[in-house]
Amino acid sequence: MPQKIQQFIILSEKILSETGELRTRRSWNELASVSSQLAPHMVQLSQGFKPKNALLFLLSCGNEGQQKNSLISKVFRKIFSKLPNNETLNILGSISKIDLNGNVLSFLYENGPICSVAAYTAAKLGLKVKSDAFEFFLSAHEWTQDDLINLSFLVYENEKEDLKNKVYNSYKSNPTEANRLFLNILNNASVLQPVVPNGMTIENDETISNKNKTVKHPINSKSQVELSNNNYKYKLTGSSSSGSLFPNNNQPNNKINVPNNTVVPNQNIVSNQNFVPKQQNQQFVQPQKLKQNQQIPQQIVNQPNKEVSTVKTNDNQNQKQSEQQEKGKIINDIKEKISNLDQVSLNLNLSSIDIDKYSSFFKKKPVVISIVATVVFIAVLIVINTTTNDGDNLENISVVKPPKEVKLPDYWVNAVTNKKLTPQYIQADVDYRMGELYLSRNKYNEAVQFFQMALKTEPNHNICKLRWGYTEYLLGHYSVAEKLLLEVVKSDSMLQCANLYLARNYSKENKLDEAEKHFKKEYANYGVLEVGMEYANFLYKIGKQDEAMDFLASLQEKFPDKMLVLDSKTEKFAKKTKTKG
Amino acid sequence: MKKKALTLTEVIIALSVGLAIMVPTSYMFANSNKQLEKSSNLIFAAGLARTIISSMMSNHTIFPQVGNNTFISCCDDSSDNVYFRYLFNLKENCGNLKKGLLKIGKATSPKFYHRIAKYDFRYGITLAQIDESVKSVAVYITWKEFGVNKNYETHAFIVAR
Repeated sequence: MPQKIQQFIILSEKILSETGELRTRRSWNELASVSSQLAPHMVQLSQGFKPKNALLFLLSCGNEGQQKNSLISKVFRKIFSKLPNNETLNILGSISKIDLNGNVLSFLYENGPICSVAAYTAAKLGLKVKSDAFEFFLSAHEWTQDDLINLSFLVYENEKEDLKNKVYNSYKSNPTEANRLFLNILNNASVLQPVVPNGMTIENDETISNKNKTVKHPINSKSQVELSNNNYKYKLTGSSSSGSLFPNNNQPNNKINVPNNTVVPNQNIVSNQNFVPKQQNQQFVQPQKLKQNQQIPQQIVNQPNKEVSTVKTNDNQNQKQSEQQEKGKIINDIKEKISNLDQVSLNLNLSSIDIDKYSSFFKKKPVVISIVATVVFIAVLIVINTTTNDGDNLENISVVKPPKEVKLPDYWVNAVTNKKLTPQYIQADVDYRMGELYLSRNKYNEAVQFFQMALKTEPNHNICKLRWGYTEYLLGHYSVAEKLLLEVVKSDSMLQCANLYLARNYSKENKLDEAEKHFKKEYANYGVLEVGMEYANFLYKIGKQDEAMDFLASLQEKFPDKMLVLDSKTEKFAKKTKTKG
Repeated sequence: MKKKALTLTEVIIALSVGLAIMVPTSYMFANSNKQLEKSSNLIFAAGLARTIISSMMSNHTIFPQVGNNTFISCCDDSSDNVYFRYLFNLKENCGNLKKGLLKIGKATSPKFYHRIAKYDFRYGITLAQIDESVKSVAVYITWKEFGVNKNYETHAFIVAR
């Protein structure tokens, strides 16, 4: 038996270290097997174990029935002696919603920290309650603002409006502080997560001993109530009411009619007398009126629990302090807003409910607005663009017919080359083409005449000048040709063949260095094979055989599909010059 | 739940972000439309020039007598302007006129006519020839788009058959 208990404790620690839904964890089957063996000793063991272990034991032992349910409710009371941490919440999350509703919500009728813890836990676990039940919760006892905020998380979204109206009607007939605050929270609160009740901290089981735990009452911080897990100071009284969410008879407001559709908790919620607090002996100080507590000083909200902080490490302390400070600021802000609201705002809020539907849209504010505006703008642009696309719109065909003759512009822009084209150029171009026709028939003198005529009309006709220069070269007028070709190269050094003609001309004039320079330039500009071959031949011819062969090799590399050889005339010429030398 | 209204800073930020996105986008839209029109015009001009050259090559006996720097509007389909009819109603102008032959014009091709009229497409042909054996032809297409006078030119040698 002790071995089994030891095994259970080890397994429970193991399963808690695993991730995922409780019943799907790897160690669950093993734990359930050990628990079922310990099931006959359920009562003793569930009281002896730590709350989380006890709950794990009861969940895994598989023994259903009245006795188990009563034990579970006892364990819940143990658990609610302090704020549950994530581990405990995780275990609680694996219990069915019906069981949770029955076990957790009944504590909302009780006064004191246990109610705060139950409200916080219920909000954390995402429990929901029908709107009719809230009237009874609110009338059960005094409520703190934090608890009411947590309570607001239990409302079904679709019943929120209904609840507001109900609370408002209730407030009109019975204007209690709890009703007023709760209504304001429903209308105004923008808290997205449940809030830790004021003065309480979520503690880690590993670092803090359960036996020494103390909880400060949120309203009266001086009234610290000892809630030792192993030594409860509550005294036990008679049986409670059963079959409803109502508190037991010891609760302040015990004359309430329960509607039929109210959530009905488990009948065994407080069936065991040992855990029902007796009002006479209850050691909680009744919460003070909230009006006195409306302006909670920042120090109180931000003050960490000194007793707890002594146990924690410095790092944890700093982290917790900063977290608490942030939470405190948020809570304080909300509290101030709530407390500043008067009766007028209360009525106004009811009329502003419809706005709330759209308010979430504007939460992201500038970015959302920008995106929406941009999308609309682009859509408008598309519409305008499509409607004004003249090419496809037959309605817009009533274009005025252009005049027969128009004054010619100063220039046109060539749509392909973006170069300017003047009317003079077009006129000169006819003469130039006439010159080309004569040149093609080797009638050089006639060609020169036409080239000259063209250049008279348009002196910037570079191609015409180039061809005139070439014609002069063919005629043997090298100096004229040199002058013309130099002009062309000067005005447009990239004009194809300009450097080639100039190089040939220089070669004829025996200006070998100049010729070599322009051959090189022409080849560098366009990389034409024929120009390269002419250059190689030229190099060989002037006695630079090595350079010529190297250049030929580079040409061969560049044009591997061609068989490149030097001109035989060049070689003969080179040999002749060598022998002469 | 009541929510905060937008502050002036938030509104300014929103407007700035919006403008930062809208300005380039609107420019992009306007520019893309322009580019589309420009390339359409160039394609049209090239096609027109090619049509003229090819028609000249196939019917080399009919050559338009275009004076120096005379650019004729492609929209002008009056009887004294043979070129438009020559270009777009080849069969009609090749001497084999048949009754009921469809004429391409404003009524039959409104979109086509619209583009020509809108951008004022004109054409000019220059001819250089020594004798009948070979002719050097240059075709210039001009048009006006977005305030700029544009030009497209093409050359060809037409050899006698």
